[in-house]
Amino acid sequence: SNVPDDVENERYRQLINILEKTSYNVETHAAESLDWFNVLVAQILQQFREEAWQKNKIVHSLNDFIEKRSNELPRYLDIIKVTEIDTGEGFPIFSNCRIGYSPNSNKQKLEARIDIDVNDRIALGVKTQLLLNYPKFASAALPLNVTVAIVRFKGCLTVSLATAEEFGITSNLENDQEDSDENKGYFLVFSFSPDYIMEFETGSLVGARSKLENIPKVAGLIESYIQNWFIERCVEPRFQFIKLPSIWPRSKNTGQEIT
Amino acid sequence: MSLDINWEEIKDDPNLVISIKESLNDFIESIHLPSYVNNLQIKHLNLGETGPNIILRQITDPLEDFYKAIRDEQDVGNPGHPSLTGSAYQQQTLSPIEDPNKQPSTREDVAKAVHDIQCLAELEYVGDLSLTLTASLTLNYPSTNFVTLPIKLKISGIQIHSLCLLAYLSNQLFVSILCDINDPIIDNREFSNDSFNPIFANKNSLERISIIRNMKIETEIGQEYQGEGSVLKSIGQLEELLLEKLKTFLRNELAWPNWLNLDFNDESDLEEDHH
Repeated sequence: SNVPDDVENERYRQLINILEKTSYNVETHAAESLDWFNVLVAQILQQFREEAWQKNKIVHSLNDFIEKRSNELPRYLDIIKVTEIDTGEGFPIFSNCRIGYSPNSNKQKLEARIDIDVNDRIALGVKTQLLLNYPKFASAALPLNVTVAIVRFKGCLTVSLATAEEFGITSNLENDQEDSDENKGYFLVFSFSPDYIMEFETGSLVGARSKLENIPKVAGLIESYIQNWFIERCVEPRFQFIKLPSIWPRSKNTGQEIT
Repeated sequence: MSLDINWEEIKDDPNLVISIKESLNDFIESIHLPSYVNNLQIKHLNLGETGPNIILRQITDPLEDFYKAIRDEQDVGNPGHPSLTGSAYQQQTLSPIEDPNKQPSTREDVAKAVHDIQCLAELEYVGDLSLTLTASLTLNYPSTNFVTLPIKLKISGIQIHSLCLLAYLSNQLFVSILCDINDPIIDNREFSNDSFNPIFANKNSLERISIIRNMKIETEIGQEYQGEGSVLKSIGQLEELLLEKLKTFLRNELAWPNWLNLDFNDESDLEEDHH
């Protein structure tokens, strides 16, 4: 019955060893700026924006996504069409990075906590109709144009590494050799603390010929859908995980600078 | 117009016409008619070529009154509801057949959801809806049951220009007419969305301007009776009575603090069965 304790002690000893040999004292080490990381992320984002704008790719893929999920919309909403997208011009700024033991992990696990601040305008414009389904489906329709923009995001990001068994996704894959290979190695796990700030600028236009403009209730409705989407995926205790690829040098991954 | 109304679809929906006719006939049966009128009933309803014009004024969260109405409804339909407190309630929920978690969860069904919505709208109707009624008129002059003659009444020219509420919550739609657009109660007032607003607080609908601005009744009788003063007098009285009763009917069915409640919960169950 001492076995779990031994395993725990062994893992703790490994973490102490890592921290010693990387000269990182979790109690005293000063928080680091991540300026170098910001530059790399900005480059990736720049690339993403350029790709997104090719052939309106992002508008099409969002429209496809929404159409597939249209049965999840409340019955009083017609199909949603994306009319406009602004991917912004700024870049996220990561800062104040510090390594510590994960809370409630009994010093078995390390995590990085990083502040993130985005000052930008990331906007989405949609067009739909509110439907009155009595006495028949769509007896009356109320056109609705909404533009929602996230203009500020500020939060604390937690990043850690975990093996598949730590979040329990291996159990039903044991018989499948290929899948269990897939689940070997580390996953990058990230999550935002619940005290994040997400600020919106939402504009709305409701009605066919006589229109109501910028109604707070409509803004509240849209913003709460976005908040819920985010909270259900990325905010503690929920987290996202990404399988880390093998970094073992291979010939097929070899390149040479063009001179 | 803010709403695109698919009136072409609505006006020719036979089920809708039948159901309105039925409820109006139920209402007519409930009227206490003078002794000289018999067998009054609606023969024909034409919803007309023109629908109402609806202009949105405001979009908000639904009024508390609608949530309260659903909760009260559930309390009536479910005697073991958590409105019971103390030992009676505990006994009920701890009985082995009952799932102790089940009853409190019915409360959550009426909890406010973020997509609950209420529209305040201006309803303008100057359409050509018409109602045809038949009845038989018994003349007791010069002697009792002197003659019985069939008559045909046509109601048309209905004009309404009112403020209405449309609220959607818990998969139910609530429709209520607040007051005429010219009612002094709404002069120079902001529409605050709470029960303290005079529109909602004043539950005495008789103090308001009638929501029906205009309505026309024409009566057809046989040629030979058109010169008879006593026949015309009886008809005049019947017309006035009908106008009055129809206004009362609309006030009781649709005018705040009354409302029409359309429940789509059963309907969506049906649809799920089909899939």
